[in-house]
Amino acid sequence: MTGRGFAPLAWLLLRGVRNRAVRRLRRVREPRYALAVLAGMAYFWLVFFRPNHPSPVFAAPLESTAHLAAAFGLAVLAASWWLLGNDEPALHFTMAEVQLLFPAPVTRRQLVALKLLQAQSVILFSTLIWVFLFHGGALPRPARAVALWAIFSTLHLHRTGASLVRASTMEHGTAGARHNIVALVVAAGAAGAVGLAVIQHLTLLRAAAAGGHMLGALVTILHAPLVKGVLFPFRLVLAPLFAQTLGEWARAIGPALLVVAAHYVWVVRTDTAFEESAAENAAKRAHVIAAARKRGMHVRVKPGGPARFRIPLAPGGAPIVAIVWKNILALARTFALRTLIAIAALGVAMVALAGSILPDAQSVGEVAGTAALVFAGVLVFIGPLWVRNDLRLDMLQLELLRSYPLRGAWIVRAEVAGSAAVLTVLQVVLLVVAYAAIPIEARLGYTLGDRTALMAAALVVVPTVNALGFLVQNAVALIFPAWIRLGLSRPGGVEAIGQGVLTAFGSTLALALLLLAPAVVGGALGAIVVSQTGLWGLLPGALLAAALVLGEFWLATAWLGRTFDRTEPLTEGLVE
Amino acid sequence: MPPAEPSFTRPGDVSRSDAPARAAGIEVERLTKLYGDLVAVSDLSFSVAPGEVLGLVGPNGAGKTTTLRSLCGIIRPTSGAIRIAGHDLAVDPVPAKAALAFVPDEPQLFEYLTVEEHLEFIARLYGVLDARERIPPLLEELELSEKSRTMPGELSRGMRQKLAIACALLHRPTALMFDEPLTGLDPAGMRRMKATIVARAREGAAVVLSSHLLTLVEELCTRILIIQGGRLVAIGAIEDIIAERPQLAGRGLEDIFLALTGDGEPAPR
Repeated sequence: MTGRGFAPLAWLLLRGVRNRAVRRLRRVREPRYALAVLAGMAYFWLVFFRPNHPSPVFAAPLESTAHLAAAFGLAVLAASWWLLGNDEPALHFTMAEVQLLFPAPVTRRQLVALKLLQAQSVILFSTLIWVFLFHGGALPRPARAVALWAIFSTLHLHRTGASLVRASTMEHGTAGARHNIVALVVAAGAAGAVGLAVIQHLTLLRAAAAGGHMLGALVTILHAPLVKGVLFPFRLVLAPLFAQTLGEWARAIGPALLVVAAHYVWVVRTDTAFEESAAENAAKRAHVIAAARKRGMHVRVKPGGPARFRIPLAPGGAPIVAIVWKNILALARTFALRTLIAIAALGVAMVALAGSILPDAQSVGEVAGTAALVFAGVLVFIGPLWVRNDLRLDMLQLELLRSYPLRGAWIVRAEVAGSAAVLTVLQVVLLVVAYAAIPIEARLGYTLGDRTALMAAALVVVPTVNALGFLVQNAVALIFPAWIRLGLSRPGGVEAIGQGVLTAFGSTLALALLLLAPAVVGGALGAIVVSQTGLWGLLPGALLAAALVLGEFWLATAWLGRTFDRTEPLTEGLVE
Repeated sequence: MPPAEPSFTRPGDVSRSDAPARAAGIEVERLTKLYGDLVAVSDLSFSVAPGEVLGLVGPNGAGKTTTLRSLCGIIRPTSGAIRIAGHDLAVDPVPAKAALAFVPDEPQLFEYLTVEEHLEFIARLYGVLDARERIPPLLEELELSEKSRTMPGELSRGMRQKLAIACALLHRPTALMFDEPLTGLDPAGMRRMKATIVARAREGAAVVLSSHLLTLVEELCTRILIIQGGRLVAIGAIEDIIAERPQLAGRGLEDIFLALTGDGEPAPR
């Protein structure tokens, strides 16, 4: 196949960026979008540009423990892509790209290059966010920006490459593995070396655990030659960011850019899986996937494979239950079960590791229980960003929703309830683990009664707080559908983490504002009753706070329901 | 009207409990829809009586889809009133929507629900209490029984269309809107689709059918509404339209359409 050069694809890329930017800017003429821009600018000023605003800076020198720890973090991330894969396909092709570019006289490598360049818009935006987030320090902003760009680009390329190799191995079995033998050997060798280093230092780890200086032992392992060797490419790519002077940066940036270039060459050449997907048979599959993605879905296509997971739904009863049911099925069928299994397996492995190091079973229980408790708490904030089986998915089917015989407010409530229910079940499981695993004699020293009281209060508060968290996300999807990515898939990868940080900050701020009054009033009542009756006094406070939260939820969904009823699919760009 | 043929629904399917509402059909009064300065539909009034099939035709961009979407409550008219089965769609949208069904040209399906689950979902949403009895024969009729646990992504275009039709018919709507209903269907499917439309009308449903296939419109529709630039150009049975315009006597619907919309010269006879 001969190509006609990259120029038409480059034009397509640039024109696409320009047109999307123009379309988004045009939205600002609408009052709600204009207000959002003003709020966003104020938010940016408060977070990034406020005079004398303290900011975290990279003060750690090259080859410091912080540098090595960061490299280790990146290595773990890369390992997860190799071992667990990614729920998303390596290269995303839209329906139009499948129909127009696959049959066009364009080489497959040029198409891969197009996809990699398209990802640069997200990478550059993330770079910008992080440059402002970590301002100050020795390096000027442009130097820090280049350093961050090299990191994000490497990560994106590595993730894509790992996905392509995995896809190729799965498609072609031994032949695919043979084709990617170098990459597979390197990945396996790196994993083996880290494992070997841990085994070599097992005695040290046990002694450190017994002596209570675990962190020091871990630092020692991090500095072990074997581990440093495995981390070498990650250290190289991180080095410009940890440089303390421009001279250090200048010496470090060349090797870092070489790592980026090597990754680019590797990914562009690892096109076996892509070639397969360009073949006639797989083109049909790409078409189906593209059609599904158009609706914001990623559906794994298994021809002839019936859906195994089912939940019965009676035809009688409240109609909104149908929407909750639909959305729970959506999550069950699109969420990669292996991700959940991997998280659970990681948890079990960590507990097992703790068991092999820590002196007694009670300490293991404390570690496991505390980890479950912390994770349950963290999910309050990241859960609504993570679970998206609500209006963020269904806004793409707005026409269908609008034709249903339900008031907008009830549709919004049902959409929020589906997501909140899933997250709440997960958190309750974690709370039960914490309740059962943390020994009574642990440092916090709660009695069984106290612990039961805390659990009861948490079970009252958690579902309502979750409902508010999801309400914020759904409100954004409903009010600003043109500005956010609809569908189950989030902006993917570490390279998009800048957007994630912004979204998480904004959502947490909105959630905090909504929770303020219930927390103050409920907390005050709880404090008064606790002083008289002990921790069971938290329950009335929790009930009052939950009632206030539900009141806010009801009012907000009534207002959002009217917005839903007024939202026009065409003017919001939700129909073609 | 063509003779009775195998259809997607069986005669007698329709509930008779809503006879008073059924009498109202679809009523549209001075419907106007603006998108900024763009007039999509202007001052459009018409009604569709129970048992009637109204053909909605017009050139591209005439406002057909906007009209259909307005009738289904998907978009809100800028002004005017729409009543479905006697319920004002703006004032009382829930019972109005419960009485109607819309079959779009591009089937709108949830990619994560199986064929059978789509029908279970619709049954709960519309309160079809006898759904368990109705779904198997409906799937059989649509030749979807073997695909009942299949995801839409694995269905052909025609099967997706059939599933969308099944979803639309399950709750026995009294007002039906079809947008290019034959798209993607094979010849047998087209025949069944046409028979279904006729059967629903015979059972008392008010039907609006929008299509560029003028032969289909001519074959099935009792009256025709021609719109252009969002405005009504002509409405009535073909004979009535010709009676008001003697120069069109003896011409087919295609010629009438082209003459009225000014889109071209009539085909030579």
